[in-house]
Amino acid sequence: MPISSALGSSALLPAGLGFRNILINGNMRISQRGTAAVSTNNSYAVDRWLVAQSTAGAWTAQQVTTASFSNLSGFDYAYKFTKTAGNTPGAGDYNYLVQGIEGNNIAGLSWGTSAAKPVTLSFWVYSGATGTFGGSIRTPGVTWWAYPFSYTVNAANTWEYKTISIPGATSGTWPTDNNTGFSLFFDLGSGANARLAAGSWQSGTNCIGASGTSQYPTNTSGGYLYITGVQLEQNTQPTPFEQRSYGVELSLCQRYYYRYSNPSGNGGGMGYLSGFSSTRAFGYIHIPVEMRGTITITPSSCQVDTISLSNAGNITAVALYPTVGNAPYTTTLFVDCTTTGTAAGTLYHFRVPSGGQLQFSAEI
Amino acid sequence: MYALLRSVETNEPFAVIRLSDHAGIPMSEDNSDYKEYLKWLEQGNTPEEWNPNAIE
Repeated sequence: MPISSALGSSALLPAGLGFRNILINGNMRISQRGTAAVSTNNSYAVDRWLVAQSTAGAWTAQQVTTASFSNLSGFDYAYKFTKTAGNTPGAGDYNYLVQGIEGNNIAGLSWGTSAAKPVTLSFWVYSGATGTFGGSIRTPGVTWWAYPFSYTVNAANTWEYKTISIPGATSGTWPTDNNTGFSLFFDLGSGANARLAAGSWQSGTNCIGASGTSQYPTNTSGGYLYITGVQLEQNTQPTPFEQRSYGVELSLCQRYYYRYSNPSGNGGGMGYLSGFSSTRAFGYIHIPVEMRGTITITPSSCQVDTISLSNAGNITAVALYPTVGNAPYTTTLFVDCTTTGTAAGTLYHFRVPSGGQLQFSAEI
Repeated sequence: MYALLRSVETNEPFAVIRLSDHAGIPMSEDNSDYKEYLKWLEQGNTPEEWNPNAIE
């Protein structure tokens, strides 16, 4: 069977058969932080997809299953946004969903040059109201370049498939290292200061969405919107969503965030620590994949245990210790732990007991 | 609110502890948490010294 027949009529695959989707976790399946709704600014309910709202608590975001929907197939999960109280956003307000894309993953697009390649965005959306909605692709940094786009929801409470073709950006600065290459925004009701006319590359504004588009669900109490199956590919037209294996997608997410937890209560050893003083211990711990950049480490209810496995004290903070050959981009981390119960020259276990966790973040 | 964690070798700060969750933040500009800390400093705030016995 011809490839074009297998993937859809006239499918063009300039970026190849595999790893077409530049985005990570586009089907909203991976949620290492848990499944609880979040309502604070700059938070994640689904891996790689950050939600921002200028009025914290104005709405909630949550990973939900899609089993109850009859007209969506191929996607078990979606990102749901629910407004808790309606308000009209001011000009400077922002409400959005965003995925920051690492520059290493956009190098093939040659953006910022005359050879810039086009991309196509495709996704599924389910909205409590009809209307025209928007988003944008935008550079990082101060000298903004952005492509605002809009799409129309034709029927309320119905999953609809949307596609948007975007020409390559021949101007602007698009990093191709481990910093943000560009960001993809879905506008969830931002103010006029963050919006530009849809359909062309423009500079000079921190653009999140398109002028004149709906501010739903932000302006409607009880308003809701679901998104899933988001794909951004080097192409002039969409291809079917790339269903990558769970293990591959999880590893891709863990380059940016990894959480170790120990629900069983047994084990939970992260490595050995050498006591330096009554409040400091040093040692090596390991993470499953090399992370994007220098790592923030957040312990919760972690402890130091003696070699005979009795609790010696708590670990109150963990930080990369930079002066002992501690390269930031590796899977073996030399850490400084501040503690409540160590002694110089004594060996300890770094342990995450039941209910505890250790988080590693190198989010963009 | 943040506190400084100092090197046992040089006594210079090498990490920032975010007091709300005890996150250990490297002082590196490719770290988004450190960028937030720098914004906090620009607002005129001053970090504390980290107390290792602080309770989570």
